[in-house]
Amino acid sequence: MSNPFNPSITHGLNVIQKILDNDKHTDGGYKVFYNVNFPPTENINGIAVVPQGLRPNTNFGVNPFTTQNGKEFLFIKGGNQHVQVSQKSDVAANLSGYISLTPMRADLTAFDRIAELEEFL
Amino acid sequence: MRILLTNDDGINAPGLQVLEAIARSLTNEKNIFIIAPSGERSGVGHCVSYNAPTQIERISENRYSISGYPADCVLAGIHHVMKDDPPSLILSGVNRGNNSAENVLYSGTIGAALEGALQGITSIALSQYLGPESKKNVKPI
Repeated sequence: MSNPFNPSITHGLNVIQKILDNDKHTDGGYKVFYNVNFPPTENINGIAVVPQGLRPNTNFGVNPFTTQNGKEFLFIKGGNQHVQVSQKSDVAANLSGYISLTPMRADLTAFDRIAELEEFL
Repeated sequence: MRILLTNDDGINAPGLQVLEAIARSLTNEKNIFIIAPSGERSGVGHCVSYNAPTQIERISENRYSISGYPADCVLAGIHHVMKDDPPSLILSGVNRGNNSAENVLYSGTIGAALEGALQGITSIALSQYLGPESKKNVKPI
């Protein structure tokens, strides 16, 4: 690929226009925003509306090093970005040649645990 | 449509130029404002300059750099640069590298879009996944 941004150059406008055509105004609560990821290939299979994924066993970490005068530093490093994931998700779509579109909210509540915790307390 | 463009890779990043070209297809030049960090701010998430002021520098017509973070850029756009006629759309990116899966939680690109949504404005984060086919052609910022 001559320019690594070619997928976003070619398809960015189309994706944004589709989002704007379907954006809904909502009153109250956390407003939805959109996360778009373009796959690392020019052979695009389409746009997939998918949830946020999770790469298994992939975490940020640190690389420590010590300077010549004895001071200790840490480089923060990311994990492997090309781990295959099985769940239907943004990362799985991207690695299969799809542009991922994920609607998101800032509300981080784990709604599936609320009833259980209420019962426990 | 008035559009605010920002990113976390910095005001000179190639992905921001991609976004500028896209924005010119959506509205006229006068309605496009670019407010981006002065340099690389990847991995800062939704960080804001809460404990120290952030410097804003006008580079040219409708183009500004911010010494702080991507979310600062959104706040600067809505509440300072464009306060008399705020943006109706915020585009953040195009990020150098993917912001899928757990990367979402670290990304300054996402942090800017999140701040835009909290301010009630339609916001889209855009990122370019790099792979074996494309990574070798990316210059470090």
